Amino acid sequence: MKSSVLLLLLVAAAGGAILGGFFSYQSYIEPGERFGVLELKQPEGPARVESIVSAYNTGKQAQGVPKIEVDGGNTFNFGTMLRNASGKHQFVVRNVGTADLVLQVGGTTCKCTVGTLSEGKLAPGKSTTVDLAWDAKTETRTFSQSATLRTNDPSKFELPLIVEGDVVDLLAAEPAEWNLGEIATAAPLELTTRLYNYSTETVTIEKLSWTSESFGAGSEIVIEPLPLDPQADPAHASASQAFDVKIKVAGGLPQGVLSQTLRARYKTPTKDDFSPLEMKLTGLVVGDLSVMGNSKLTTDEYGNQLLKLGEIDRAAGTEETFYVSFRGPFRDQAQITLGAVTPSEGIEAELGEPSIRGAVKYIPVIIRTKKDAPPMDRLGGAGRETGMLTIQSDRDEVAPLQLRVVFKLTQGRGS
Amino acid sequence: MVIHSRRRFDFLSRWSVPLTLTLILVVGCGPGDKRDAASDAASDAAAQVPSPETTTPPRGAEVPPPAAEHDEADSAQEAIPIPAAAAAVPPAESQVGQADLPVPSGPPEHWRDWESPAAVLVVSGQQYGYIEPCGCTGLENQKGGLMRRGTLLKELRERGWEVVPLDAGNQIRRTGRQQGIKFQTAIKGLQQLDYETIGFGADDLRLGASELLSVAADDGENSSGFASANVELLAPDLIPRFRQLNRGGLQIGVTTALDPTTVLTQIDEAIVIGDLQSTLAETLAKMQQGGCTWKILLLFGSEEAAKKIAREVPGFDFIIAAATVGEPLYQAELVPGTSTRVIKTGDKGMYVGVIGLFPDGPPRYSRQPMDAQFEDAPEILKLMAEYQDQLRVLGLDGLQVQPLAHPSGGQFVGTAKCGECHTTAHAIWEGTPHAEATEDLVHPGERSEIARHFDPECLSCHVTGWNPQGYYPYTSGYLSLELTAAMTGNGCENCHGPGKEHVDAEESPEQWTAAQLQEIRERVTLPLEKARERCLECHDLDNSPDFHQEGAFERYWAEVEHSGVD
Repeated sequence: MKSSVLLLLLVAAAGGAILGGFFSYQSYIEPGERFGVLELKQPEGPARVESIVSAYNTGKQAQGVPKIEVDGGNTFNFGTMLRNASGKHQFVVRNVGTADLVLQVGGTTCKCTVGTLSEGKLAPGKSTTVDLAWDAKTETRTFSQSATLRTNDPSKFELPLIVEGDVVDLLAAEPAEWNLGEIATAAPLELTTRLYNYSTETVTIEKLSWTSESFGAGSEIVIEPLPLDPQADPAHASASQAFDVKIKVAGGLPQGVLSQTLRARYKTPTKDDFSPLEMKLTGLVVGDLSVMGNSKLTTDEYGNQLLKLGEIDRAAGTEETFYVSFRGPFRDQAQITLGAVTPSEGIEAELGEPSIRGAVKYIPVIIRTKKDAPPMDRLGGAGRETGMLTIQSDRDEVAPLQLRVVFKLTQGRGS
Repeated sequence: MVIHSRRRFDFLSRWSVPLTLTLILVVGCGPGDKRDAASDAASDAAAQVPSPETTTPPRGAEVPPPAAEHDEADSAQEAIPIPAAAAAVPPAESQVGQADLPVPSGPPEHWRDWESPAAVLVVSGQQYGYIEPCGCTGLENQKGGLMRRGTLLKELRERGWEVVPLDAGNQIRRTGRQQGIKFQTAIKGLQQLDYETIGFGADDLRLGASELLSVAADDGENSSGFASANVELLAPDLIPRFRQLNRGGLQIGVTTALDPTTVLTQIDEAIVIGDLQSTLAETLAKMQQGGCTWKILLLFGSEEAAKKIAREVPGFDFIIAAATVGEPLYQAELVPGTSTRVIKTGDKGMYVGVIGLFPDGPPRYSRQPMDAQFEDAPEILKLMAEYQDQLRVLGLDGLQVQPLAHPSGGQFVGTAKCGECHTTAHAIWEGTPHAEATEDLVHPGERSEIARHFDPECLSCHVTGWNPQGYYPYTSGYLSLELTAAMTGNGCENCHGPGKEHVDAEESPEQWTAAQLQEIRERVTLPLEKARERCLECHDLDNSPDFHQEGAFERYWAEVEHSGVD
């Protein structure tokens, strides 16, 4: 009796497992999920999820077990290849188990194509091939794409085949951008980059210049050949030639958004119509003093800064902390103090202790509404005033910072 | 209870469908009594700092056994009921020659099949500028988009579940004013969707500390949602190291971190990226001291970096690796020798991971593609409309998108001018979608309520005279419908090059020798073997995947084929 009940339970449970697996898998697969972006070749027409689940469950019930193995592992590293070039690799998939191995192509990233599986089902001991072809069309240096095989191997329902490596331009700049954040208007800029040639031909740099002539007039660019040492610099071991670029930009840039493009025109002995290599310089040119560090701070495109406190119940009041950043040549000598805070009957402020972060000295500022402040409107716009907070230094060369404070103190309930 | 004592608890084995789980329990796989040091510490900490809202058993009962007894091959085999023959295969054999194979187990499962999770973590990252899929080839063919994610979250919440959305960062992929606005829009969207923790990606940092802080600074009551174990913007205390969430009676600690090796450009000196290992070890210890029973790391780093952290800083339950591409696996991958599972997000927000935390069982994982089954969330659609309107108000000047000289030095004349002589070619062009390229932005076929003709990222391939991959106009290229009406459509000169020199020469042939005229003509001649490269500048893999199938170029070329003067 006991054995009959146990048997019944086992049969019911096994049936439940099969049905459960089937239905859950069916419901799992989403529209458009079967093949990724690309339609893939299949030896027996489009893959049907049901068939692999069926094979999967059949495999579990069969004598023996299928087991998948990929010769050399499931990751292929192609090393370094040129951007936009195409590559191809053949994975050899083997059934090292004791029952038929069913294979299907699952999803693939849109940068891989998966060739036809030469066989959809592998007998024990047999192998088949899966071709992955890819175009190295990526903006980034690292490249990694994958295709997924679904199998009835109980230990590997899915198996990613991965292609990875470095993708480089024939002539590549490192870095290819300078994102400087806030830059003090008085401070000169010093930029560096290196250009690497990944072709087998010699590259000649014909011209290296800023696209803006006026910006270029205040800039000095020095480019020199750079000896390559694959042992000391293995990351560029596949480069055949390198150049060191040093750029100096005079201080005194106009305040506001900085966005400039440096173009390198180059050629090889066999080709002279390459699109120029472009490098971007971005940042926000501000005075030596600026403020940041609070979501109520905003900066307009001219570099003017506002602190938007909004409407405040005068009885409840408000307090905010932000930071003054101090950059530029006088950062270490000048003393920063608080100037006028207006309207003095509505708001007050205090400075904290300065700290250093890289080329930036930063000082916390606490601003709060006064407890006994009368109702007032300093929202600005339409001829209305705003509040103002002035931060200044003891050096004439450092222009004071005037921060507009936008707020309205309301009577509020219970005031 | 006898069943429980027969076999040790296997974390991975429980990641299977409910009915399969039934069989597992019958054959004797259930919660065990062994815990690893990290889980001991976690549960001990939980015991010391009890949460009044915690109603579930201590976390320690739910974590894996010691790693030495928990190799992945073994657990993989226990994940599903297997025939006797399979069970006879020594576990180690499955690893022969395949040391790099992740070993997921059993079929996938779907969160829609779950019942009563205590909390559901929805993990994403590496949106990489794709706040919405381009849609050039039909939205039904493309995955991704914050709008769809909003609808997924709504569906999860409508089930009455405690939903905890988490994002590992990298909302953008380029730099400049538009990217700043896009970053702000993306974060605003995440905040509208009640994201609990957000991290920084390497591309986000290109914006600089000031711009990042304008949305990321935690101002007391005004939580931005950002946290980072190792990224400091200006001052150390502006971004919290981690966030501790009490959801569904669980204490969930979530931190983010950025692998410094992912930063490939020079960035603002006011941004400091701390050592990954030491900052994460400190943060993890604080999570444990705070009584977090679940420890989650959102890492902007590769899968390999995530696995390295799992080994070097043991104790995280999940590490979400976001500097990754491709399709995430169905299962969360157990890092050998640890109790940490790694989930990769893939790129462009095409997938999210859904992790169910259950009061009386181990966690489950479900991978969810962001496909067309999810409609656009109206509030995010509205946000996208506001984003486009911001671009309109600022204009190209306000966005700092300035025309640059074409590398050839040439000037554009517009397609109609070309058509004055090349009448047949022009007639063919007019019959192609290229002629409607700008109109398709003004009145889009999909999400038609939002015009896109102020968006440089769209304009670059939908007008004449722009650098398609640089997203800027060439001098004399399109600027606006009003200023440069002749430059609408994806015209002749986008492939053949600026035509003014050629037009001037043909209109005043007496000023040139025959050889010079021929040379100028050749400069705007595009041989078929070079045409493919030009096509691919716009028909790239993101926007035109069909174009990359075998034989696609030939099929497409047949639709636009033209040659010669007429």
